[in-house]
Amino acid sequence: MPKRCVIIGASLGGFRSARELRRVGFSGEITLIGEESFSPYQRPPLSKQLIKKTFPLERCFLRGSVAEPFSQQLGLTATALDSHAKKIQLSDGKEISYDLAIVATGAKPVTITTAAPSDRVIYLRTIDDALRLRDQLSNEVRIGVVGAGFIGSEVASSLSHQVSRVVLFDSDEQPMSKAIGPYLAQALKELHESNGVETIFGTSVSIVDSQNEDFVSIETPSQQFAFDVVVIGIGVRPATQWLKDSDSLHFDAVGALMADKTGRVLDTDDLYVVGDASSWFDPIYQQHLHVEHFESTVNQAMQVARSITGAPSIDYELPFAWTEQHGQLIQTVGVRMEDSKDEVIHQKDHLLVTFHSSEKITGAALFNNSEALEWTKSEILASLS
Amino acid sequence: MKIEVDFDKCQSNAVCMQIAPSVFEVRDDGYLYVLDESPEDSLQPLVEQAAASCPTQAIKIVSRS
Ligand SMILES: Cc1cc2nc3c(=O)[nH]c(=O)nc-3n(C[C@H](O)[C@H](O)[C@H](O)COP(=O)(O)OP(=O)(O)OC[C@H]3O[C@@H](n4cnc5c(N)ncnc54)[C@H](O)[C@@H]3O)c2cc1C
Ligand code: SF4
Repeated sequence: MPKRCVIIGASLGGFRSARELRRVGFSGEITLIGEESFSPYQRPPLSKQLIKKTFPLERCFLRGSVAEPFSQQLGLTATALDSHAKKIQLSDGKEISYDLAIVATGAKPVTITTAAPSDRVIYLRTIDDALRLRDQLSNEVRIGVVGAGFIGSEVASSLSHQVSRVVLFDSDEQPMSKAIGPYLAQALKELHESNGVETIFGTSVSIVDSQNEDFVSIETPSQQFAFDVVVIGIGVRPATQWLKDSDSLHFDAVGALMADKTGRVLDTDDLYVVGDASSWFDPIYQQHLHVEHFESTVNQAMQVARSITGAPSIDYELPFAWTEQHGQLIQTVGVRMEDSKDEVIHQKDHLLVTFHSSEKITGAALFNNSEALEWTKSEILASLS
Repeated sequence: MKIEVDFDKCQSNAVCMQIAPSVFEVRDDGYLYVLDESPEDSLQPLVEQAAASCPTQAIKIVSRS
């Protein structure tokens, strides 16, 4: 009997799950419910091409279409889920029942209480956020970027030659060091500086957004700065708050919904989770991993469609991410554990840093070296298995 | 051989086009076009290099000759 699959979250994970379900022959009803009013889109250009003004907005939308029949309800938020009764509560007061459901609600930025989101305080996650930033850019504008993780570091890079001043702040000593290790992080820091980004690292900051001033100020223990716009990228949290009333669900330390290696939510029958909201059991690392990147989201969507229909599983893929800053490509593969010992390997002007923990290679970062990626992946897999 | 591009992963940075321009083209509209989904055997080394060099790993070789 054809079943009804309800997918909550109409972005990368949700849209690709719907598409893949049709590709592997799911013939039931598919309903995609999404809070944002935009059609599903890619987020990576929001901190890169869109604010560099090299992509028009239209270029950000996902390209593949889902085979019909397929219904999409945008501008609607799921507010609760009952996994026993198989019902989802919606913000318009209605409820929808499901035979199968996929949670694809992604993640939302961590916010600072003294700096509420506004036109001049931007937490970059959505098209709306990116357009608000883009539309204020000019060569007179001063931008402060708080948090030098993937997104903050990318924003600083994308804006560096467009505005009058970019200052990048982080309490760590270097940008993105947890993801890429201190060696490459130092190279990235120098790259920022040689491109005119001022770096204020290794110090705490406080952000003061007083409505009486026409600037936002950022204070460190020794300095004070005034900015026209402040972009904050201090991390995201899985958007799973709306599920927290469901007593039978399990969440990891950051609040990601835990699933087995097929994407099925632990201790449930017909509930699945993909993308930034999820923490899947990883059979190679033998632990649950919460990954917040494009590639894993796509792979999980492909796998969930197969788990639901019984089609053969996809091949295992290591976590993978890329970032482009100041025209340089950094890719990461696998995982960098907190106790990682890093090994730097120079290959002419290409760089590879491998991450070691418990005598195994758990991951690596590559600097302008994508041709070494396949080899690196096989080294990691050989070491872990 | 047969190739498949995941257009959602593609960021139109044209790395593939520089390596194999008879197969990949990024046009002024910002989109990548695959000019030839089943390139002839002599192009295989170039297409493999393009796939390996793609920053986002968007190009997949689904069958080899
Ligand atoms: C600026 C930026 C740049 C990035 N760059 C890169 C990059 O270069 N490389 C990379 O690998 N990754 C990058 N990422 C990460 C990547 O975009 C995410 O991993 C990916 O979007 C995750 O997809 P998702 O569908 O799980 O979640 P999301 O894309 O977050 O989508 C979740 C959707 O669900 C909706 N939603 C949330 N709660 C509800 C609810 N209760 N009811 C209904 N709908 C709801 C949200 O509004 C959202 O539209 C970037 C992210 C950002 C923000
Ligand atoms: S190299 Fe990859 S990302 Fe770049 S245009 Fe080609 S397919 Fe797209």
